[in-house]
Amino acid sequence: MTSPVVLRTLRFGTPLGLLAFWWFWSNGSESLYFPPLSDVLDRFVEVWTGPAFRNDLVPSVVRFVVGFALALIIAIPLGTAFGLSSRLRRDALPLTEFSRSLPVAAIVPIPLLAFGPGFGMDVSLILFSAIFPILLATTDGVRGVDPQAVETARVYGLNMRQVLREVILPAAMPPIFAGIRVALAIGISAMVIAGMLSSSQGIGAYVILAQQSFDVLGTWAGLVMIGLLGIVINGTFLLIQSRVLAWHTGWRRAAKEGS
Amino acid sequence: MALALTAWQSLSMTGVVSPRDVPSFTATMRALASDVQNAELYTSIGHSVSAWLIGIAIVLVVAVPLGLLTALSRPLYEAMLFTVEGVRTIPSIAALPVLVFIYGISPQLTVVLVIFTAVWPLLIQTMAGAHDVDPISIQTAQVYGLSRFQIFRQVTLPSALPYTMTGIKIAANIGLIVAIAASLIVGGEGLGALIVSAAGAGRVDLMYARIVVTGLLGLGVSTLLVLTERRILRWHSSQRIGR
Repeated sequence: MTSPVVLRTLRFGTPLGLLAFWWFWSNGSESLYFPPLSDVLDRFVEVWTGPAFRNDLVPSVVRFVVGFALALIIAIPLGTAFGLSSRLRRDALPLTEFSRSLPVAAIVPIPLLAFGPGFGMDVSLILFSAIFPILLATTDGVRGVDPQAVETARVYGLNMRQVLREVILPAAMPPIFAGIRVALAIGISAMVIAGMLSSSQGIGAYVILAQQSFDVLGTWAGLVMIGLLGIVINGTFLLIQSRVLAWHTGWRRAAKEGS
Repeated sequence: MALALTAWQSLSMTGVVSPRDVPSFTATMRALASDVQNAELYTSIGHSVSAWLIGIAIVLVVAVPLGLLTALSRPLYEAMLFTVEGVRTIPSIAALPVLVFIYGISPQLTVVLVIFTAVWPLLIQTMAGAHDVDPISIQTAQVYGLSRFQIFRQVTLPSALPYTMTGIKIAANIGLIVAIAASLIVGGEGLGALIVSAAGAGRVDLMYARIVVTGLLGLGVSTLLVLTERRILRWHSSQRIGR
Protein backbone atom coordinates (compact mmCIF):
# COMPACT_ATOMS: atom_id res chain seq x y z
CA MET A 1 0.00 0.00 0.00
CA THR A 2 1.19 3.46 -0.79
CA SER A 3 1.48 5.76 2.19
CA PRO A 4 -1.18 8.45 2.71
CA VAL A 5 1.43 11.19 2.42
CA VAL A 6 2.38 10.08 -1.07
CA LEU A 7 -1.29 9.84 -2.04
CA ARG A 8 -2.04 13.34 -0.78
CA THR A 9 1.02 14.69 -2.60
CA LEU A 10 -0.23 13.08 -5.80
CA ARG A 11 -3.73 14.42 -5.31
CA PHE A 12 -2.74 18.06 -4.92
CA GLY A 13 0.64 17.89 -6.63
CA THR A 14 -0.46 16.62 -10.05
CA PRO A 15 -2.56 19.65 -11.07
CA LEU A 16 0.11 22.01 -9.73
CA GLY A 17 2.80 19.99 -11.48
CA LEU A 18 0.94 20.21 -14.77
CA LEU A 19 0.59 23.98 -14.40
CA ALA A 20 4.31 24.25 -13.62
CA PHE A 21 5.06 22.07 -16.63
CA TRP A 22 2.99 24.37 -18.86
CA TRP A 23 4.83 27.40 -17.45
CA PHE A 24 8.31 26.01 -18.11
CA TRP A 25 7.48 24.27 -21.37
CA SER A 26 5.94 27.40 -22.87
CA ASN A 27 8.66 29.64 -21.44
CA GLY A 28 10.51 31.17 -24.36
CA SER A 29 8.16 29.35 -26.72
CA GLU A 30 8.43 30.58 -30.28
CA SER A 31 5.20 28.85 -31.30
CA LEU A 32 2.71 31.25 -32.76
CA TYR A 33 -0.33 29.77 -31.06
CA PHE A 34 1.13 28.63 -27.74
CA PRO A 35 2.67 31.78 -26.30
CA PRO A 36 4.60 31.62 -23.01
CA LEU A 37 2.23 31.33 -20.06
CA SER A 38 3.94 34.28 -18.38
CA ASP A 39 3.03 36.49 -21.36
CA VAL A 40 -0.55 35.18 -21.25
CA LEU A 41 -0.84 36.06 -17.57
CA ASP A 42 0.61 39.54 -18.17
CA ARG A 43 -1.98 40.07 -20.87
CA PHE A 44 -4.69 38.59 -18.65
CA VAL A 45 -4.02 41.19 -15.96
CA GLU A 46 -3.83 43.97 -18.52
CA VAL A 47 -7.11 43.00 -20.24
CA TRP A 48 -9.22 42.35 -17.18
CA THR A 49 -8.13 45.45 -15.29
CA GLY A 50 -8.99 47.48 -18.40
CA PRO A 51 -12.33 48.45 -19.98
CA ALA A 52 -13.08 44.79 -20.84
CA PHE A 53 -13.84 44.23 -17.15
CA ARG A 54 -16.83 46.56 -17.25
CA ASN A 55 -17.83 45.94 -20.87
CA ASP A 56 -17.54 42.16 -21.07
CA LEU A 57 -16.95 40.43 -17.75
CA VAL A 58 -19.58 42.20 -15.63
CA PRO A 59 -22.41 41.86 -18.21
CA SER A 60 -21.66 38.16 -18.64
CA VAL A 61 -21.71 37.47 -14.91
CA VAL A 62 -24.88 39.53 -14.34
CA ARG A 63 -26.72 37.78 -17.18
CA PHE A 64 -25.59 34.40 -15.95
CA VAL A 65 -26.82 35.10 -12.43
CA VAL A 66 -30.20 36.46 -13.63
CA GLY A 67 -30.76 33.62 -16.11
CA PHE A 68 -29.76 30.95 -13.64
CA ALA A 69 -31.85 32.42 -10.83
CA LEU A 70 -34.89 32.43 -13.13
CA ALA A 71 -34.20 28.80 -14.05
CA LEU A 72 -34.15 27.87 -10.36
CA ILE A 73 -37.33 29.83 -9.60
CA ILE A 74 -39.22 28.15 -12.43
CA ALA A 75 -37.75 24.66 -12.44
CA ILE A 76 -37.96 23.73 -8.76
CA PRO A 77 -41.70 24.42 -8.23
CA LEU A 78 -42.57 23.00 -11.64
CA GLY A 79 -40.44 19.92 -11.02
CA THR A 80 -42.10 19.43 -7.65
CA ALA A 81 -45.53 19.56 -9.32
CA PHE A 82 -44.37 17.06 -11.95
CA GLY A 83 -42.99 14.83 -9.24
CA LEU A 84 -46.27 14.83 -7.33
CA SER A 85 -48.65 14.40 -10.25
CA SER A 86 -48.15 11.52 -12.65
CA ARG A 87 -50.85 13.00 -14.91
CA LEU A 88 -49.00 16.28 -15.29
CA ARG A 89 -45.78 14.39 -15.87
CA ARG A 90 -47.31 12.27 -18.60
CA ASP A 91 -48.86 15.26 -20.35
CA ALA A 92 -45.65 17.27 -20.36
CA LEU A 93 -43.32 14.38 -21.17
CA PRO A 94 -43.08 14.75 -24.99
CA LEU A 95 -42.40 18.46 -24.64
CA THR A 96 -39.78 18.14 -21.89
CA GLU A 97 -38.07 15.22 -23.64
CA PHE A 98 -37.82 17.10 -26.92
CA SER A 99 -36.63 20.35 -25.37
CA ARG A 100 -34.13 18.51 -23.21
CA SER A 101 -32.57 16.68 -26.16
CA LEU A 102 -32.44 19.83 -28.25
CA PRO A 103 -28.75 20.70 -28.50
CA VAL A 104 -28.73 24.11 -26.80
CA ALA A 105 -26.48 25.63 -29.44
CA ALA A 106 -29.11 25.06 -32.12
CA ILE A 107 -31.62 27.45 -30.57
CA VAL A 108 -29.20 30.39 -30.19
CA PRO A 109 -30.47 32.08 -33.38
CA ILE A 110 -34.05 32.20 -32.00
CA PRO A 111 -33.40 34.66 -29.14
CA LEU A 112 -30.84 36.43 -31.34
CA LEU A 113 -33.60 37.15 -33.84
CA ALA A 114 -36.35 37.75 -31.29
CA PHE A 115 -34.48 40.01 -28.85
CA GLY A 116 -31.42 41.05 -30.80
CA PRO A 117 -28.00 40.75 -29.20
CA GLY A 118 -27.89 41.82 -25.57
CA PHE A 119 -29.38 41.20 -22.16
CA GLY A 120 -32.64 39.52 -23.22
CA MET A 121 -30.96 37.11 -25.58
CA ASP A 122 -28.29 36.00 -23.13
CA VAL A 123 -30.65 35.63 -20.18
CA SER A 124 -33.25 33.66 -22.13
CA LEU A 125 -30.58 31.34 -23.53
CA ILE A 126 -29.03 30.67 -20.12
CA LEU A 127 -32.51 30.15 -18.68
CA PHE A 128 -33.47 27.69 -21.42
CA SER A 129 -30.27 25.66 -21.17
CA ALA A 130 -30.23 25.51 -17.36
CA ILE A 131 -33.90 24.79 -16.74
CA PHE A 132 -34.15 21.18 -17.95
CA PRO A 133 -31.47 19.48 -15.85
CA ILE A 134 -32.96 21.12 -12.72
CA LEU A 135 -36.52 20.30 -13.75
CA LEU A 136 -35.74 16.64 -14.36
CA ALA A 137 -33.67 16.24 -11.22
CA THR A 138 -36.42 17.82 -9.12
CA THR A 139 -39.09 15.62 -10.71
CA ASP A 140 -37.05 12.47 -10.08
CA GLY A 141 -36.06 13.61 -6.60
CA VAL A 142 -39.66 14.30 -5.53
CA ARG A 143 -40.84 11.04 -7.08
CA GLY A 144 -38.14 9.13 -5.27
CA VAL A 145 -39.21 10.24 -1.78
CA ASP A 146 -40.08 7.29 0.43
CA PRO A 147 -43.92 7.10 0.35
CA GLN A 148 -43.89 5.71 3.90
CA ALA A 149 -42.23 8.88 5.15
CA VAL A 150 -44.99 10.92 3.50
CA GLU A 151 -47.74 8.70 4.94
CA THR A 152 -46.20 8.78 8.39
CA ALA A 153 -46.13 12.57 8.27
CA ARG A 154 -49.79 12.63 7.19
CA VAL A 155 -50.74 10.28 10.03
CA TYR A 156 -49.11 12.70 12.46
CA GLY A 157 -51.51 15.32 11.13
CA LEU A 158 -49.22 17.41 8.94
CA ASN A 159 -51.11 19.07 6.11
CA MET A 160 -49.89 18.79 2.52
CA ARG A 161 -47.96 22.05 2.69
CA GLN A 162 -46.13 20.97 5.81
CA VAL A 163 -45.40 17.56 4.30
CA LEU A 164 -43.95 19.29 1.28
CA ARG A 165 -41.75 21.57 3.35
CA GLU A 166 -40.73 19.17 6.11
CA VAL A 167 -40.52 15.83 4.33
CA ILE A 168 -40.55 15.93 0.54
CA LEU A 169 -38.29 18.88 -0.26
CA PRO A 170 -35.51 17.99 2.21
CA ALA A 171 -35.50 14.41 0.94
CA ALA A 172 -35.39 15.59 -2.69
CA MET A 173 -32.58 18.08 -1.97
CA PRO A 174 -29.54 15.87 -2.82
CA PRO A 175 -30.77 14.96 -6.34
CA ILE A 176 -31.86 18.57 -6.92
CA PHE A 177 -28.33 19.73 -6.12
CA ALA A 178 -26.90 17.15 -8.51
CA GLY A 179 -29.18 18.57 -11.21
CA ILE A 180 -28.12 22.14 -10.40
CA ARG A 181 -24.49 21.18 -10.85
CA VAL A 182 -25.14 19.82 -14.32
CA ALA A 183 -27.19 22.94 -15.14
CA LEU A 184 -24.31 25.19 -14.01
CA ALA A 185 -21.92 23.63 -16.52
CA ILE A 186 -24.42 23.89 -19.39
CA GLY A 187 -25.45 27.41 -18.34
CA ILE A 188 -21.86 28.67 -18.37
CA SER A 189 -21.35 27.18 -21.83
CA ALA A 190 -24.57 28.83 -23.01
CA MET A 191 -23.34 32.16 -21.67
CA VAL A 192 -20.10 31.82 -23.65
CA ILE A 193 -21.81 30.56 -26.83
CA ALA A 194 -24.34 33.40 -26.73
CA GLY A 195 -21.55 35.96 -26.57
CA MET A 196 -19.55 34.24 -29.31
CA LEU A 197 -22.48 34.27 -31.69
CA SER A 198 -23.84 37.73 -31.03
CA SER A 199 -20.33 39.26 -30.79
CA SER A 200 -21.74 42.30 -29.07
CA GLN A 201 -20.98 42.21 -25.38
CA GLY A 202 -19.79 39.61 -22.92
CA ILE A 203 -16.85 37.37 -22.37
CA GLY A 204 -17.72 35.12 -25.33
CA ALA A 205 -17.81 38.14 -27.61
CA TYR A 206 -14.44 39.26 -26.26
CA VAL A 207 -12.64 36.00 -27.13
CA ILE A 208 -14.22 35.58 -30.54
CA LEU A 209 -13.33 39.16 -31.49
CA ALA A 210 -9.77 38.62 -30.24
CA GLN A 211 -9.58 35.46 -32.32
CA GLN A 212 -10.94 37.14 -35.44
CA SER A 213 -8.33 39.90 -35.14
CA PHE A 214 -5.56 37.28 -34.69
CA ASP A 215 -4.78 38.57 -31.23
CA VAL A 216 -3.38 35.27 -29.89
CA LEU A 217 -2.44 36.59 -26.45
CA GLY A 218 -5.83 38.26 -26.08
CA THR A 219 -7.59 35.02 -27.02
CA TRP A 220 -5.61 33.12 -24.41
CA ALA A 221 -6.35 35.82 -21.83
CA GLY A 222 -10.06 35.35 -22.54
CA LEU A 223 -9.78 31.58 -22.35
CA VAL A 224 -8.06 31.80 -18.96
CA MET A 225 -10.81 34.13 -17.71
CA ILE A 226 -13.58 31.75 -18.85
CA GLY A 227 -11.78 28.87 -17.16
CA LEU A 228 -11.38 30.89 -13.98
CA LEU A 229 -15.06 31.83 -14.10
CA GLY A 230 -16.01 28.16 -14.41
CA ILE A 231 -13.84 27.21 -11.45
CA VAL A 232 -15.11 30.08 -9.25
CA ILE A 233 -18.79 29.43 -10.06
CA ASN A 234 -18.40 25.70 -9.39
CA GLY A 235 -16.42 26.34 -6.23
CA THR A 236 -19.10 28.69 -4.91
CA PHE A 237 -21.74 26.11 -5.68
CA LEU A 238 -19.87 23.32 -3.88
CA LEU A 239 -19.48 25.61 -0.87
CA ILE A 240 -23.23 26.30 -0.78
CA GLN A 241 -23.98 22.63 -1.30
CA SER A 242 -21.78 21.51 1.56
CA ARG A 243 -23.58 24.04 3.81
CA VAL A 244 -27.11 23.17 2.73
CA LEU A 245 -26.56 19.43 2.60
CA ALA A 246 -24.43 19.27 5.75
CA TRP A 247 -27.21 17.35 7.49
CA HIS A 248 -27.30 14.85 4.62
CA THR A 249 -23.60 13.98 4.53
CA GLY A 250 -23.52 14.02 8.32
CA TRP A 251 -26.45 11.64 8.47
CA ARG A 252 -24.86 9.37 5.91
CA ARG A 253 -21.62 9.19 7.84
CA ALA A 254 -23.50 8.43 11.04
CA ALA A 255 -25.48 5.70 9.30
CA LYS A 256 -22.29 4.18 7.93
CA GLU A 257 -20.47 4.18 11.25
CA GLY A 258 -23.50 2.89 13.10
CA SER A 259 -23.88 -0.17 10.92
CA MET B 1 -48.13 18.07 -26.67
CA ALA B 2 -51.04 18.84 -28.94
CA LEU B 3 -51.87 21.73 -26.63
CA ALA B 4 -48.38 23.19 -26.99
CA LEU B 5 -48.51 22.90 -30.78
CA THR B 6 -51.93 24.56 -30.87
CA ALA B 7 -50.60 27.33 -28.67
CA TRP B 8 -47.62 27.81 -30.97
CA GLN B 9 -49.88 27.97 -34.04
CA SER B 10 -52.44 30.34 -32.54
CA LEU B 11 -49.79 32.63 -31.07
CA SER B 12 -48.24 33.38 -34.43
CA MET B 13 -51.55 33.35 -36.33
CA THR B 14 -53.24 35.85 -34.04
CA GLY B 15 -50.14 38.02 -34.22
CA VAL B 16 -49.35 37.99 -30.50
CA VAL B 17 -45.81 37.32 -31.59
CA SER B 18 -44.78 38.62 -34.97
CA PRO B 19 -44.61 35.86 -37.62
CA ARG B 20 -41.35 37.48 -38.66
CA ASP B 21 -39.78 36.34 -35.36
CA VAL B 22 -41.75 33.16 -34.79
CA PRO B 23 -43.27 31.49 -37.85
CA SER B 24 -46.40 29.42 -37.35
CA PHE B 25 -46.17 25.68 -36.87
CA THR B 26 -47.64 25.02 -40.29
CA ALA B 27 -45.20 27.41 -41.98
CA THR B 28 -42.30 25.66 -40.22
CA MET B 29 -43.57 22.26 -41.34
CA ARG B 30 -43.92 23.49 -44.92
CA ALA B 31 -40.30 24.71 -44.83
CA LEU B 32 -39.27 21.39 -43.35
CA ALA B 33 -41.08 19.48 -46.09
CA SER B 34 -39.18 21.38 -48.77
CA ASP B 35 -35.89 21.16 -46.90
CA VAL B 36 -35.93 17.36 -46.65
CA GLN B 37 -35.58 17.28 -50.44
CA ASN B 38 -32.46 19.41 -50.15
CA ALA B 39 -29.24 17.42 -50.43
CA GLU B 40 -27.36 20.06 -48.47
CA LEU B 41 -29.33 19.15 -45.37
CA TYR B 42 -28.06 15.59 -45.47
CA THR B 43 -24.44 16.45 -46.18
CA SER B 44 -24.55 18.93 -43.26
CA ILE B 45 -26.04 16.35 -40.93
CA GLY B 46 -23.37 13.96 -42.19
CA HIS B 47 -20.56 16.42 -41.39
CA SER B 48 -21.83 17.15 -37.89
CA VAL B 49 -22.63 13.54 -37.04
CA SER B 50 -19.38 12.07 -38.41
CA ALA B 51 -17.20 14.58 -36.52
CA TRP B 52 -19.24 13.83 -33.40
CA LEU B 53 -18.96 10.04 -33.87
CA ILE B 54 -15.19 10.12 -34.45
CA GLY B 55 -14.71 12.31 -31.38
CA ILE B 56 -16.89 10.12 -29.17
CA ALA B 57 -15.15 6.95 -30.42
CA ILE B 58 -11.75 8.37 -29.48
CA VAL B 59 -13.11 9.44 -26.09
CA LEU B 60 -14.47 5.95 -25.44
CA VAL B 61 -11.18 4.30 -26.31
CA VAL B 62 -9.20 6.65 -24.06
CA ALA B 63 -11.46 7.41 -21.11
CA VAL B 64 -12.99 4.03 -20.31
CA PRO B 65 -9.73 2.03 -19.97
CA LEU B 66 -8.01 4.92 -18.20
CA GLY B 67 -10.90 5.31 -15.76
CA LEU B 68 -11.05 1.58 -15.06
CA LEU B 69 -7.30 1.45 -14.55
CA THR B 70 -7.74 3.71 -11.53
CA ALA B 71 -9.47 0.79 -9.80
CA LEU B 72 -6.16 -1.09 -9.89
CA SER B 73 -3.84 1.75 -8.98
CA ARG B 74 -4.63 4.03 -6.06
CA PRO B 75 -1.75 6.43 -6.88
CA LEU B 76 -3.10 6.85 -10.42
CA TYR B 77 -6.57 7.58 -9.02
CA GLU B 78 -5.24 10.20 -6.62
CA ALA B 79 -3.11 11.79 -9.32
CA MET B 80 -6.07 12.13 -11.67
CA LEU B 81 -8.91 13.02 -9.30
CA PHE B 82 -8.31 16.74 -8.68
CA THR B 83 -6.85 17.33 -12.11
CA VAL B 84 -9.91 15.94 -13.89
CA GLU B 85 -12.34 17.60 -11.45
CA GLY B 86 -10.61 20.92 -12.03
CA VAL B 87 -10.37 20.74 -15.80
CA ARG B 88 -13.97 19.71 -16.27
CA THR B 89 -15.28 22.88 -14.62
CA ILE B 90 -13.71 24.85 -17.47
CA PRO B 91 -16.29 25.21 -20.26
CA SER B 92 -14.67 23.46 -23.22
CA ILE B 93 -16.27 25.83 -25.71
CA ALA B 94 -13.76 28.41 -24.46
CA ALA B 95 -11.07 26.45 -26.29
CA LEU B 96 -12.81 26.97 -29.62
CA PRO B 97 -11.05 30.24 -30.59
CA VAL B 98 -7.60 28.83 -29.83
CA LEU B 99 -8.46 25.66 -31.74
CA VAL B 100 -9.46 27.78 -34.74
CA PHE B 101 -5.92 29.19 -34.72
CA ILE B 102 -4.46 25.70 -34.78
CA TYR B 103 -6.79 23.74 -37.05
CA GLY B 104 -8.53 26.45 -39.04
CA ILE B 105 -12.18 25.90 -39.85
CA SER B 106 -12.05 22.19 -40.56
CA PRO B 107 -13.59 18.85 -39.55
CA GLN B 108 -10.59 18.25 -37.24
CA LEU B 109 -11.57 21.35 -35.30
CA THR B 110 -14.97 19.84 -34.48
CA VAL B 111 -13.49 16.45 -33.64
CA VAL B 112 -10.95 17.94 -31.23
CA LEU B 113 -13.60 20.11 -29.59
CA VAL B 114 -15.87 17.08 -29.12
CA ILE B 115 -12.98 15.16 -27.54
CA PHE B 116 -12.13 18.02 -25.16
CA THR B 117 -15.76 18.26 -24.11
CA ALA B 118 -16.75 14.63 -23.79
CA VAL B 119 -13.66 13.08 -22.24
CA TRP B 120 -14.07 14.60 -18.74
CA PRO B 121 -17.59 13.48 -17.80
CA LEU B 122 -16.90 9.95 -19.03
CA LEU B 123 -13.60 9.80 -17.16
CA ILE B 124 -15.20 11.10 -13.95
CA GLN B 125 -18.10 8.65 -14.13
CA THR B 126 -15.87 5.65 -14.91
CA MET B 127 -13.48 6.58 -12.09
CA ALA B 128 -16.40 6.93 -9.70
CA GLY B 129 -17.75 3.56 -10.81
CA ALA B 130 -14.39 1.87 -10.46
CA HIS B 131 -14.19 3.13 -6.88
CA ASP B 132 -17.74 2.56 -5.76
CA VAL B 133 -17.45 -1.23 -5.68
CA ASP B 134 -18.97 -2.91 -2.67
CA PRO B 135 -15.91 -3.78 -0.51
CA ILE B 136 -17.67 -6.89 0.80
CA SER B 137 -17.94 -8.26 -2.76
CA ILE B 138 -14.21 -7.76 -3.23
CA GLN B 139 -13.41 -9.41 0.10
CA THR B 140 -15.70 -12.31 -0.74
CA ALA B 141 -13.97 -12.76 -4.08
CA GLN B 142 -10.60 -12.68 -2.32
CA VAL B 143 -11.73 -15.33 0.14
CA TYR B 144 -12.74 -17.51 -2.79
CA GLY B 145 -9.20 -17.19 -4.07
CA LEU B 146 -9.84 -15.10 -7.17
CA SER B 147 -6.75 -13.40 -8.57
CA ARG B 148 -6.50 -9.62 -8.82
CA PHE B 149 -7.26 -9.80 -12.51
CA GLN B 150 -10.26 -12.07 -11.98
CA ILE B 151 -11.63 -9.72 -9.33
CA PHE B 152 -11.19 -6.81 -11.71
CA ARG B 153 -13.02 -8.63 -14.46
CA GLN B 154 -15.79 -10.27 -12.49
CA VAL B 155 -16.45 -7.77 -9.69
CA THR B 156 -15.12 -4.31 -10.51
CA LEU B 157 -16.04 -4.26 -14.19
CA PRO B 158 -19.74 -5.17 -13.88
CA SER B 159 -20.09 -2.90 -10.90
CA ALA B 160 -18.57 0.08 -12.75
CA LEU B 161 -20.56 -0.48 -15.94
CA PRO B 162 -23.75 1.43 -14.93
CA TYR B 163 -21.62 4.48 -14.05
CA THR B 164 -19.80 4.22 -17.35
CA MET B 165 -23.10 4.04 -19.24
CA THR B 166 -24.28 7.21 -17.47
CA GLY B 167 -20.97 8.81 -18.43
CA ILE B 168 -21.40 7.78 -22.07
CA LYS B 169 -24.89 9.30 -22.16
CA ILE B 170 -23.66 12.63 -20.75
CA ALA B 171 -20.57 12.64 -22.99
CA ALA B 172 -22.55 11.86 -26.15
CA ASN B 173 -25.15 14.53 -25.45
CA ILE B 174 -22.77 17.38 -24.67
CA GLY B 175 -20.48 16.23 -27.47
CA LEU B 176 -23.37 16.72 -29.90
CA ILE B 177 -24.04 20.19 -28.47
CA VAL B 178 -20.49 21.39 -29.13
CA ALA B 179 -20.33 19.65 -32.53
CA ILE B 180 -23.27 21.81 -33.60
CA ALA B 181 -22.07 24.89 -31.72
CA ALA B 182 -18.72 24.78 -33.53
CA SER B 183 -20.20 25.16 -37.00
CA LEU B 184 -22.77 27.62 -35.64
CA ILE B 185 -20.09 29.97 -34.33
CA VAL B 186 -17.22 29.66 -36.77
CA GLY B 187 -19.09 28.47 -39.86
CA GLY B 188 -17.81 25.74 -42.13
CA GLU B 189 -19.85 22.64 -42.87
CA GLY B 190 -22.41 21.32 -40.43
CA LEU B 191 -25.91 21.66 -39.09
CA GLY B 192 -25.04 24.78 -37.09
CA ALA B 193 -23.80 26.60 -40.19
CA LEU B 194 -26.98 25.58 -42.00
CA ILE B 195 -29.15 27.12 -39.27
CA VAL B 196 -27.14 30.34 -39.44
CA SER B 197 -27.36 30.47 -43.23
CA ALA B 198 -31.17 30.18 -43.07
CA ALA B 199 -31.25 33.00 -40.51
CA GLY B 200 -28.86 35.08 -42.60
CA ALA B 201 -31.10 34.67 -45.65
CA GLY B 202 -34.06 35.93 -43.63
CA ARG B 203 -35.81 32.55 -43.92
CA VAL B 204 -37.03 32.30 -40.34
CA ASP B 205 -39.39 29.42 -41.18
CA LEU B 206 -36.45 27.47 -42.62
CA MET B 207 -34.32 28.30 -39.59
CA TYR B 208 -37.02 26.91 -37.30
CA ALA B 209 -37.37 23.83 -39.52
CA ARG B 210 -33.65 23.14 -39.21
CA ILE B 211 -33.74 23.67 -35.46
CA VAL B 212 -36.54 21.08 -35.36
CA VAL B 213 -34.30 18.72 -37.37
CA THR B 214 -31.47 19.29 -34.88
CA GLY B 215 -33.85 18.60 -32.00
CA LEU B 216 -35.00 15.37 -33.63
CA LEU B 217 -31.37 14.37 -34.10
CA GLY B 218 -30.72 15.00 -30.41
CA LEU B 219 -33.84 13.08 -29.46
CA GLY B 220 -32.80 10.19 -31.69
CA VAL B 221 -29.35 10.07 -30.12
CA SER B 222 -30.73 10.12 -26.55
CA THR B 223 -33.32 7.44 -27.34
CA LEU B 224 -30.72 5.21 -28.95
CA LEU B 225 -28.45 5.59 -25.94
CA VAL B 226 -31.21 4.76 -23.46
CA LEU B 227 -32.10 1.64 -25.47
CA THR B 228 -28.43 0.58 -25.60
CA GLU B 229 -28.12 1.12 -21.87
CA ARG B 230 -31.19 -1.01 -21.26
CA ARG B 231 -29.76 -3.81 -23.35
CA ILE B 232 -26.29 -3.77 -21.87
CA LEU B 233 -27.49 -3.39 -18.31
CA ARG B 234 -30.42 -5.83 -18.54
CA TRP B 235 -29.05 -7.71 -15.53
CA HIS B 236 -28.74 -4.60 -13.36
CA SER B 237 -31.42 -3.75 -10.80
CA SER B 238 -31.84 -0.16 -12.03
CA GLN B 239 -33.17 -1.46 -15.36
CA ARG B 240 -35.50 -4.13 -14.07
CA ILE B 241 -39.18 -3.77 -14.78
CA GLY B 242 -41.23 -2.61 -11.86
CA ARG B 243 -38.91 0.18 -10.89
